[in-house]
Amino acid sequence: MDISRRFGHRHTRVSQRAFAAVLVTTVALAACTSTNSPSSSGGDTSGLTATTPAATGNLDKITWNLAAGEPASLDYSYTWDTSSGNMVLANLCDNLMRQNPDGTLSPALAESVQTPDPKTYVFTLRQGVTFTDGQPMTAQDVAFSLNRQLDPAIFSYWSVWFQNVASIEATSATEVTVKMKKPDVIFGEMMATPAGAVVQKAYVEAKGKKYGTPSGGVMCTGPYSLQSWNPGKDIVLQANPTYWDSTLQPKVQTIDFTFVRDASTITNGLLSGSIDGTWDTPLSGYEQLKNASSGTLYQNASTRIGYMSMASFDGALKEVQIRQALQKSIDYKGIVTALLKGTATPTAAGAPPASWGYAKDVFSAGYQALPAATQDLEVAKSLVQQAGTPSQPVVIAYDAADSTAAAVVASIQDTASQVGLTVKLKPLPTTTYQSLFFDPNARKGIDAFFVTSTLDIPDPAELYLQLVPSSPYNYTGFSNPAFTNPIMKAQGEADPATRAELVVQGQASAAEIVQMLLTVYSPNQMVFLNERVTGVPVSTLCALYYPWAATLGAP
Amino acid sequence: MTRFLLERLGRLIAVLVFASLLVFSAVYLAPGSAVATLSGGRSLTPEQVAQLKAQYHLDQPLITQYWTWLTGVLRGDLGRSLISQESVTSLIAARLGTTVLLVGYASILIVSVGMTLGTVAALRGHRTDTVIVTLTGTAAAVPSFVAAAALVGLFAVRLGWFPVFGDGSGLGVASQVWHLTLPAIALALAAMGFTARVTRTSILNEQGQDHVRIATGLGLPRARIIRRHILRNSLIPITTAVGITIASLIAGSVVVEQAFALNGLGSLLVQAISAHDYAVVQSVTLLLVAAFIVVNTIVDLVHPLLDPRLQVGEEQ
Repeated sequence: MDISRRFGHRHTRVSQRAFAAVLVTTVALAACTSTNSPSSSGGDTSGLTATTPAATGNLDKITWNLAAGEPASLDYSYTWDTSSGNMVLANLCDNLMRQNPDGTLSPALAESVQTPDPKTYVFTLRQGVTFTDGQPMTAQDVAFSLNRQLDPAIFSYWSVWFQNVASIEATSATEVTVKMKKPDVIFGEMMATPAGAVVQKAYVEAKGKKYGTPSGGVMCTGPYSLQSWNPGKDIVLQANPTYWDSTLQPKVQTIDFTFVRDASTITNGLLSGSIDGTWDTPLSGYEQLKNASSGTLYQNASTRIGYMSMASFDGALKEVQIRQALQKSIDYKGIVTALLKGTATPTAAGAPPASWGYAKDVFSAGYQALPAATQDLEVAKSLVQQAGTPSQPVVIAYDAADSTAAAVVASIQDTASQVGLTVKLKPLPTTTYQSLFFDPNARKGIDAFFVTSTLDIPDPAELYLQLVPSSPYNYTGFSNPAFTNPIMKAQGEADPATRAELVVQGQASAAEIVQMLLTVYSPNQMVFLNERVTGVPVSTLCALYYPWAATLGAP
Repeated sequence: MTRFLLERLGRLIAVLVFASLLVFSAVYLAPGSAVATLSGGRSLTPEQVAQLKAQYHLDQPLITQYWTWLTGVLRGDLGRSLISQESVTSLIAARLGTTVLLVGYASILIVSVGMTLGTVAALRGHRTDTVIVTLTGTAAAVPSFVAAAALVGLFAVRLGWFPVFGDGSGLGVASQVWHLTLPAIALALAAMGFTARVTRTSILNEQGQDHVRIATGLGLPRARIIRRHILRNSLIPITTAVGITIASLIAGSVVVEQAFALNGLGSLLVQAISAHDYAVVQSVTLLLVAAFIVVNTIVDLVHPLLDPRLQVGEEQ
């Protein structure tokens, strides 16, 4: 779960008709269980589209903006913090596995993966792959890259997914073997994120602490190489003429990544053509960009969710009925249409449809059985009456700098008051808000806080595993065996259908009692492309982890 | 003169030391912590938080951290950014040029346009005066971010004469000037209005002085009276006001840099403050304080040139 407050929150008003169409499409997508392929009803009527027209021609140079600003690092161990780092890194470094535009995983730098027993992964490496400096990729490089994620001195952001790893070794010139302490399917899937990135051992060792910084650079095998990183200004990528994947040969020679964060500057830049494209367009510029003559705004369902994370069950949210009443009181439709301008879908699940990478029928059935993301004030009122009005108000914190979050929680406060619940809003400066994630003192007196985040792989188990009692994301310390047991079991379950059943079971139990998350909506992935460029898949996971820049080119 | 400069230098160092302690404490006491940045937005176990704090010496008391920083600076090491792991020197070097150019450009606009308008208004009077007074009054009231939005909307998006954002560095001086034109106008607008008003008032004041009346009565040529007796004397209050205005532009450039996505010191400072990036905050603020003092010292040095009766270092 990538807590990504600084991005994704730039959405936006389509007409009532278009909104209805969005809903219909979502249902249709869920029914036909193909969330990532183009909708059968045709992109125009639904407003959602999984792909942009394929590129046919070459381009010398394009300017692409990173709406979340300058990456803090391009070191694969630290690119989990904001969307920016991942959006750039996805084009510089390949992982052992790859996330595809259709929502599936496939081998990338690994040619194949074998699991001779549930506690062993054997990655057979692709031959003939070279780093962008021409040196061949070796098993030593791969073992070094993975082992670095375990190093306490490195303190990798991905280390949580290496908890069950016993050893990582190059077992032959073409093979790397990972031994697990216990079966862990998610580890294998996480190899399709920078958790499984491969860097050049000699280069990283030579650069030391400077690796991944503007002066240290990166050394990987991707379709692009880092030409320059001018701190505060831009990151320039150069096409790699010897990229190993013949299906993803870059058509754009040079990509200039800019760091504009101001919403109106981004909108103006896209309208005037000084920026050719950007993921996560600003919500404030939605109408202008939708009607722009300079390019096209695309959107598709995403793996992101906007939700209230439960912080404490010691206060007003102690009783399950109060949490259920809060869940029933929310004006989902109003939030999505009026506040988010129709660029999101109401959802009660932590893992939205776009995250179902396997056993879609199982997840779909489980999704239908969840408490509906619809407002029911009468039910909410009677739930409050059953439990009795809490003596204290429900305190909901949010990042004061996030205008979307502010509007959403204000709506929640308003509708809660209609069912007899007093909500007290607590806007926090960004740094204080960020402390909520790791500092119990910062969470004192707060019952819930608003978060936007995304899954990192197309597997709902990834999200729910981070909410078990032993996880630092379980802020309330609440333990519910009906949730924990199936989810922990799912982690070791190799059979997709069985794993999906387990996840659905745990998900239902957690949602029933509003245990960790009170999910409100899933925002769409937005991307704007100037008329001179096209080609990217419209997918959050692709924007973060797939070499999408290699799909860009002239129409 | 030498004594004056040494005295000023001593004062500068004292102010810098005091300011550095003040800023360091402010960042230390501000809500939130650098751990939020270092954690990458993840939830961490208490052990992991403790490990991070130890690794970056954030668990040490304020005075120890300050001392570590100060001794580093005395050895010529400004430290390393917590966020990017880059040396502060290189982070500042990458941005100094843009800020200097932006503030320089804005200063030229303030001095040339502001003073010209003020002079014309005062000397012409009547309708010209009314028009200029109205315009400059409006300009002085427009905040820079409003000016930025209006300028971009009209000249960059509508007309396409100027770029929407960016500093144009790496493409030659002409490109940089072209890129920085709208930002410089946005930054200078209010100060131009202010300068025009100060200039006008100062000249009107000077025109009413006895020596000007006598010169006029003696029948000296008008142009000579204006040059020698009015403008020269009125320049003292004008340079004082302009000096302070320009010095404060450096800090004021933050807003404009953000609006135009310029890679300047202001943007760097804002970013660093929100991330509790001590080393960067310290160095940038001290640079701003030093620049403020230096600009004011230059103004003090200019005064005796305008009026030889004034001694260097004498207060106005």
